[in-house]
Amino acid sequence: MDNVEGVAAAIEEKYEEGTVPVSTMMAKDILGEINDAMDVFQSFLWVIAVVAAVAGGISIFIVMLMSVIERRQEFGILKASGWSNRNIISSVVVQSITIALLGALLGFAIGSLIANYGISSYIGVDIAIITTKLLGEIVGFGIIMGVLGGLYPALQAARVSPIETLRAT
Amino acid sequence: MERMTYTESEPVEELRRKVQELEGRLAAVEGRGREREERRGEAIVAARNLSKIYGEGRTRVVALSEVNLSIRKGEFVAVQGASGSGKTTLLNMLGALDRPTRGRVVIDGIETTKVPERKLFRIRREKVGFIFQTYYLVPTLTALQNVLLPTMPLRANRDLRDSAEQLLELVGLRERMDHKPGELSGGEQQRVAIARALVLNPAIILADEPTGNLDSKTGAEIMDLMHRLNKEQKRTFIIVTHDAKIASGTERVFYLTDGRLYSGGGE
Ligand SMILES: Nc1ncnc2c1ncn2[C@@H]1O[C@H](COP(=O)(O)OP(=O)(O)O)[C@@H](O)[C@H]1O
Ligand SMILES: [Mg+2]
Repeated sequence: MDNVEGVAAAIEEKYEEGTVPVSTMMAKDILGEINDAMDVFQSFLWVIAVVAAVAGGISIFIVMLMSVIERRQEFGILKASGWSNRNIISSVVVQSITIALLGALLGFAIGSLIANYGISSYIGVDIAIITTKLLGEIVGFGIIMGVLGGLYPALQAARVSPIETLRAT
Repeated sequence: MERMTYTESEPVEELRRKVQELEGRLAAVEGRGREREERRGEAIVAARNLSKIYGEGRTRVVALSEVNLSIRKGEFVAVQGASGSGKTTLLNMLGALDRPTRGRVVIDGIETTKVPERKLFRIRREKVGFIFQTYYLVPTLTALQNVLLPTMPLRANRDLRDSAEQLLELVGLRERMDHKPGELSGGEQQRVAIARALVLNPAIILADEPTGNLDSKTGAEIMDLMHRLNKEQKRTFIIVTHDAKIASGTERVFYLTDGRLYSGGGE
């Protein structure tokens, strides 16, 4: 069958004047509709991912800021011990990246477990296909989140004045 | 915090340090004859016309006024003064933790009051060890990690760890090195703090009321320890205290009253 469209047109023409309305549907059209649905679904997933990323970034920011405020005296000690501002900033950012990476990898592990063992048992195929590229993206994403969330808290830590925080009486 | 961060490449930093030192020396040589004399007398730390004024207008406080002082390598001196006399302010100036309003400080040939803010950390790291009244250990780190704190920005190496362990041995806490500060007594915490102040072999050790939080027996033990480190290792100590008994045990005592320093016995 080469001329699917022609046949469809012929059928519709033939029944045009009949009492029963007839419409034809081709496999191609169905495929197109599935694709459209998948596109919507994809965008929907993206929206969820972006919202999750923003929420994650903000959480890291809040956790790091609280931790820095709590440890003001510690940063005063580090400064009196000869740590440079850069030393303090990189130390806080490294902590922030560590937390973000742990979060990203944990989230990824839980997510793909649910997808491949939970949901896929209904439809029979693995949904989450784990590639090294995907893993790399997740690690990169974690690092970016860690830097974004941790930078401001790190700058605050570096701004601590040792003479203020170490004043005993 | 256990993690070490490496941000500096050694050779460049080494050169930079040398340049800084030479600059400091040049400044000192170009200075007045008085400073030249001090250099000959091997002053490890000297203050000239040092004044510190906090606030302005109605809240203006003259915490230090025209302080002159010169301390030789290997000395153990005390600065005695009542609360509010300016002892902490003086130590902060000598240790490059804060800047004077006027006057200058020279440590080990470097005029620290001329070193720009962003480079001051190197003076604090290499020239000064601080000991505080309330120890200021990091509660989440072990005794050994606390001693290693000043070394963490440097390239990790076996020697630093060894010297930290030796210092803990020297202060009598080797077998407690994996304990956290919360598991140590006040006297033991201060011993850890002393080891931390010594770990990078600073030119001077500044102690702000080091026995102020301890009972008199433990305080005397801490003083004995510092005297021993002074004798055996030729470490230079400057301690400030309000306690005449603590001060009287040292080689030389300065008296601080309302920000003015008086020398007890000839300089
Ligand atoms: N940051 C500051 N702002 C205003 N005044 C200060 C500050 N630090 C210290 N002072 C004042 O300077 C004087 C000396 O203080 P300080 O050096 O702490 O004395 P000490 O250590 O001998 O008790 C005191 O009158 C104190 O109130
Ligand atoms: Mg004080």
